[in-house]
Amino acid sequence: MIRRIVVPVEVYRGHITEATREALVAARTVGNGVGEVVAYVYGEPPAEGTDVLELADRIIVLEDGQVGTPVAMAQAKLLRERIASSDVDLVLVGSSSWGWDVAPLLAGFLSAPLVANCQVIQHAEDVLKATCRICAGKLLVDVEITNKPTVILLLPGSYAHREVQPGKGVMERERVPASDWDARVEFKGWLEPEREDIDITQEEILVTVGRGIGQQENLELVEDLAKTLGGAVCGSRPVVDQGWLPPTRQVGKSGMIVKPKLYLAIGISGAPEHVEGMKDAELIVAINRDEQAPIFDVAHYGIAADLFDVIPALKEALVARRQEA
Amino acid sequence: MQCGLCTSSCPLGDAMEYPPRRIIAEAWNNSLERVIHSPSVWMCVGCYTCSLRCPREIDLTDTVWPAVRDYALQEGIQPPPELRTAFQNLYLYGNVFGYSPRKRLDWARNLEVTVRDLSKSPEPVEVLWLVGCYPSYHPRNQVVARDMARILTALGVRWGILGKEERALGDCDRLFGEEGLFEMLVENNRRLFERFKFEKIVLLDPHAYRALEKFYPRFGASFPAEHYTTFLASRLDQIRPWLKKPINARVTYHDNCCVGRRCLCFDPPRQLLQAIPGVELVEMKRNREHALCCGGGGGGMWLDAFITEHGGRRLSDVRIQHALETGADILAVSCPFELSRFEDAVKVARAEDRLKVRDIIELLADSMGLGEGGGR
Amino acid sequence: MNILAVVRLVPDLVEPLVVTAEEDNLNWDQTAFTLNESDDHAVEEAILLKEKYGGHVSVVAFDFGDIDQVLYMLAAKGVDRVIKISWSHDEPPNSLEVARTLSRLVPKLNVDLVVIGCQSHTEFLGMAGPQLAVALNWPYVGVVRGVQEGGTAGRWTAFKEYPGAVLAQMEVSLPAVLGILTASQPPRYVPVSRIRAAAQSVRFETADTPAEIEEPPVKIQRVYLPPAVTHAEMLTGSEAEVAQRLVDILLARGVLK
Repeated sequence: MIRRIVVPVEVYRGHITEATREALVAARTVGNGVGEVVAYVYGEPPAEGTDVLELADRIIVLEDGQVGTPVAMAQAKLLRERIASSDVDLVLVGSSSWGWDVAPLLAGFLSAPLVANCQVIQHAEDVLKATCRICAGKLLVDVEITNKPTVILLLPGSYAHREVQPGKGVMERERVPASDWDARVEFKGWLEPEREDIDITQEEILVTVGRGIGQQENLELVEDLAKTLGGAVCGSRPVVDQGWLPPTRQVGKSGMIVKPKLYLAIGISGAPEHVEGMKDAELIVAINRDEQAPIFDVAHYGIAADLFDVIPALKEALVARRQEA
Repeated sequence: MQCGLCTSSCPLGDAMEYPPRRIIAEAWNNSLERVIHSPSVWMCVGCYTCSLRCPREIDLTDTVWPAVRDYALQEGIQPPPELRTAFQNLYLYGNVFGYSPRKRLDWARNLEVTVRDLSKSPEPVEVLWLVGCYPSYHPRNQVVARDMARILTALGVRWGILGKEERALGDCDRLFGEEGLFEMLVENNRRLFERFKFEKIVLLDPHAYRALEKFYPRFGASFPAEHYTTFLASRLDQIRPWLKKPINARVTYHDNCCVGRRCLCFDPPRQLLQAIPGVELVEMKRNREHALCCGGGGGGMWLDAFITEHGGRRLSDVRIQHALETGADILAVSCPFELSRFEDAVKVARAEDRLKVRDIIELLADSMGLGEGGGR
Repeated sequence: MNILAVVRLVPDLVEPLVVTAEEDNLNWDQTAFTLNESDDHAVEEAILLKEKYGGHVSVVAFDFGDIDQVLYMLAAKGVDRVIKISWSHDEPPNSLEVARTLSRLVPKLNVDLVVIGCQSHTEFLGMAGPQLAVALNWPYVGVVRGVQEGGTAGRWTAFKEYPGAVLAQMEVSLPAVLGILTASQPPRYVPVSRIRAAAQSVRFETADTPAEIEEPPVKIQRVYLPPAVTHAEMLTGSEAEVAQRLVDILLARGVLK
């Protein structure tokens, strides 16, 4: 039985992150209504979007000084005593730049095991089992977790859409003495990237067009879809060579190597020169009229249909889903 | 030494800050330092036009350019990223793609003819066929490799390959000044080839053929070698009875630079094409020693974005217009780089329905009733 | 400035992974290894710092597999000192073994800064960089893309990467451990002739610190390959059905927000 699960909350530029929300959902799922879910918030919670904290039973707001600045090292250290002294069985951290620092540091401070790249946690007969996805997704490892506490760094996605009951959502506040703050690392500010065009290697969602779109005018349809998805448009070499997209948007051997969360390939045949630039995307979906197109050998999901039929339907379904939510 | 024929004949000379003539001038003035910081260093595509035109018979392509590039690399100048990756892949895996050497034989999966893998069972053969990186790994070229296997078998040639032990011969790295990498590949290949008994080596890749023919002997690695066009043309009498299925098409042939301009071998590929019933061979306005390079040679294959950016054009796009002007239905090629380069160029020219790009091997195999129909 | 870069070999994913019959580990005999990518970047960043501000770069590695070839390459790039830690096991050291062993070695080396790749694709039980920092009681910043001299009070600046190429400017007191994701410039290419020259001239040192052996902190039940995907799962039906199905998949995979 799980007694208590701690989730350190990441606030990134005024918002509680999606990774944190997933960690809270995972905590509720694993705790199964029995284990108490405790969220630690560093500094005053943001004005908006804090309803996700209601997934926790207790919300402990750590206050004072620099506590809210994103310094993972100092923030992890603040939890050392709090976790060590309060029957915590699990610490769940979402994968993000911050989480990648917080989780291993906290494990180090607690002399606790760290289980990273965890895809899913299962709880059966008082045995906790975590499945980790490593080697770029090419290897799975099941581990049995017996040590308490254990720190788990979750991969994004697995808990994104589970339905869970909210917790008690009781908020408490704790003042942190300035001397508890490890000042050896100091956050000085955010630097925005300087660029003329977007950097497609940094985009999480890419909608890519190949010569299959036929004419430049049809790009509008694709741009519209990308906007609905919250992604950017890029293209294969022939599309860029036609001047339909700037060279900064070219994916492939002689363009950019991209690894987005979603790669939606539209009218792309899947020449090896193109595949070289996108094969490591987390999720590849291809739409192509030719069901023999080699892109279907690298895609996870395929739709063999006319893109001019599929794109409007897809946009409609996305808009409908958004309105539902 | 400053007549400038090299520069005026260079297909990218107008786009170079330091075209061949200026490089020679800078070398005389001991100011190569300036040259190696210029994009020009990476813009030669190894087409041998300057070498052929030079009235003093200076082989610029094989000497001046590699020397300048070697100097640049030794001075710590970084090659453009795509080329850097290709070098690293050659160093680590012995192929430009960075694929597993264990997958070298994937092209032969489900092939109905017997493949003699000498790395598994060494036995004397007539022909040691070096399949090459592109035909081994690149799906469009794998079709060509399979058709070649079918033709060799049909002709009763006793042939074998090196399977997962085959490695790149390393032509582009030499032209790109990566002498150390080239030497490493030569040493490995020499030791490898010496383990087997064969009468001659046959290659699909003209660049590799040229390297084996011209550069390997300098390292004490002399092996009799033939490009497939001359090898098959020399057996035309044996092939002819097989050529039963007509290919009724206008066909134009693109001379690759290494077999063509470098080795002055223009007739064998044409003889092969003309032997196919139904084929009407038409010539592009620039042909034989005047043929325009596809831009992929000597490493140009891995500098595509770089050269297009700094040169303002891609030579394969220019060359495809020459092919279209002939009204040909088929552009026949005999180099593994050219299939993908010209098929892309056909897409860019939006001429997919007018012009197909096919290797001579594919056309022969089709006419022999053996072909898989790649690019058809 | 004395910088120590830690380099590790990881399974080369260019080759197919092979698992033991017992499904309890990778089959190490059939595993090819390559330099961990972010460690390569860590070394590059160290050399860039040396070139910019002066100093000395050492590299430390466990004596495993073909590490010598990697070390010759790094020496050719401009590393001044190469230290190997004796290692006689079939499998590479795990993250805790790396962290624990280095925490004994580093204090003997007069180091101001340790750089190490902030991730490796086999790391899932522990992470070497941050756990080394904890063991040394040094500050740590990970997911770093570029380092500079010149913070306030002698501190250095590390740029920590966030989504959308946003960087957090972090000042770090030295000595420190930094987990590097990418160097300020891509790792440089060195001509093979240089690597071969280094193989002739460079001498490795062997650390007098023995490797520490650590059992994994959790029990490994099963190591296995995910079901092979060689072709896309095709979505069929009317346009509306296909679109709906795709939206459901995107939601389930956490792609849509």
